[in-house]
Amino acid sequence: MITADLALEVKGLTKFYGERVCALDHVSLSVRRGEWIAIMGPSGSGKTTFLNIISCLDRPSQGEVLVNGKDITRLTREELTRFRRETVGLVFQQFHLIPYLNAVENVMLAQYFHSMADEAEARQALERVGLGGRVHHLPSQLSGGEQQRVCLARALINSPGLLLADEPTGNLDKANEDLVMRIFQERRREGYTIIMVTHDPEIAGMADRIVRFDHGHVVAETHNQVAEATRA
Amino acid sequence: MRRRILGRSFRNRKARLALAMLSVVLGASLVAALVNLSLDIPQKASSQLRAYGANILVLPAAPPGSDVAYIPESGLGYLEGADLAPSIVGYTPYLYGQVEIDGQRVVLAGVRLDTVARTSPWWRVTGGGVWEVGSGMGAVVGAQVAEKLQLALDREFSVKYGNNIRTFRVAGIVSTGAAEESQVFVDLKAAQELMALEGKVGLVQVSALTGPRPLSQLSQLIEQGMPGVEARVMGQIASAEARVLGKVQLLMALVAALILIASGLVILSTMTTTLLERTTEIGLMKALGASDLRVAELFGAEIGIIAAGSGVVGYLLGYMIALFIGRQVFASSVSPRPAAFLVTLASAILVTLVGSTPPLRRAMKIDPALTLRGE
Repeated sequence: MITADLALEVKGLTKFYGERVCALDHVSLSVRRGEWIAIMGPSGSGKTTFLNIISCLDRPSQGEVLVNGKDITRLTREELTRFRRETVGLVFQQFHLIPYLNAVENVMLAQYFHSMADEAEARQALERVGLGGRVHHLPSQLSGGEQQRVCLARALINSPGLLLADEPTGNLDKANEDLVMRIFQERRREGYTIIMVTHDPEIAGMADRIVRFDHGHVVAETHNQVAEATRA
Repeated sequence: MRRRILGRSFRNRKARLALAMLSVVLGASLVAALVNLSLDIPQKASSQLRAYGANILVLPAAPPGSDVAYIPESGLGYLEGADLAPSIVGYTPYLYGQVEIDGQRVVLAGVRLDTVARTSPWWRVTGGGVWEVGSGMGAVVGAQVAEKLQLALDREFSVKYGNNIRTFRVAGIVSTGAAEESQVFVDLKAAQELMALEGKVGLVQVSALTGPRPLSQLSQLIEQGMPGVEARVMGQIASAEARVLGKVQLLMALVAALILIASGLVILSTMTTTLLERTTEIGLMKALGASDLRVAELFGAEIGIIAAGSGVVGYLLGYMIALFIGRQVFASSVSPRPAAFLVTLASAILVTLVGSTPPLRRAMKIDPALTLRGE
């Protein structure tokens, strides 16, 4: 059954690597539109595999994955690529900026692959993350926090329904972590659905719900009453 | 945006791209030089033959050695007759014989000294070329003979043919870069007297216009009008030269092909290294939603720029090489040929494409999920 206010619905998601390694074992999970989910768990628990599958970067071995009501497990490789660029914004722990493109060009790159590059819009996106004065800086001329904010501006430039982040503050100091998390909180208030993998309980505490993975299973779900109340 | 990405990417990897381009430029320049010369050599060769003045060679039909192995000088009047009138520009009779000078065997050629300068304009004669036609004393000595026998200008020397001896004086020294340098040229009449072959010539070089009548028809007319002679169109000589040229061109083509293969291998290695270095970048592009086609388009454009740039630079360099060879070998410039440009460009594109295809196919298979994890 497709529920209209669900951004993500995962049913019986299983992923094998080879014949023996089971990264995800019949995982089922639903995420409401505008909800912020923090995924936690030890290394090798299946968090990143889960994120890769819902971001259309990987395919499951079994199960259904409905993003905005569409079962992405039935899409071809080309359809997955199209779906990813139109629906998903990705934020990486390692930032993954193109080293020879400056900040605004890195943002424009996502526009270019989506539809058409618009420099003015890309500048605005950088201004929204507090980098209006750093648009022409190369990644090597930016601090880690600034690079992550460029990565965020890039992820948000095409207004994706789903913002997926894999340890977005894993490489940042406390000051930059606060800056980046403030941006996530602003986006949540704007109604973005956020799914974030993190090891940091403090950051997970900002989410509406914490989902714990272990050995490819969802072992616990904790609702954050305070965060949900703030959002409400 | 594509232009920005390409511009920045090129600036970021200047040295590597310069190496890739250099390898293609080298191959392309050789192709350009080869094609330019191949298209120009036959024309240059034929223009050189035209510069020789003579394009028909009249020879005795009988085998040499017999009495009839000479052409009667009296019959040469036919070449000035009404039958051939508009076509024949001029002719020079030659009589060759082996003589002794200071005990050395030398080829002596009797020519009409007043016409040979006109029919052999490529001769470089030092010493003012005072041929002393009237006295029959003057001799033009080939540069090699002059050096070997120490025949300086104005020096008198004796020429022995059988029992006959005659004295000549060096009036000039000729340099041609060919067989003439080992010969001695004297007035035809003097040579006929020395060899006791009065009224006979060994061969005649004829200069004819090709416009009014084809040379083959002229040669037939000459053979009909002068019984006992064979008139050969110099084109036969040109075609023999063309066969030699063909072999030279084949050799150049083989060298060019080998260099192009080497260029392809350099491109293969450079592009493979480049794409390995850019695996994360390609993975990121795919993660951001770039289709395989878009990635191929971006890298294809880079490859296209390398190919086209190398083709143009290679052509210019190759043309300069062809120009240098043309000047050194043919003493004339080589005209730029559009066909050579197209062939060079096509070779550069082909070699770059072939060298880039395997790494490009590998790039298409990059899994963004794996590469972004650093695997």
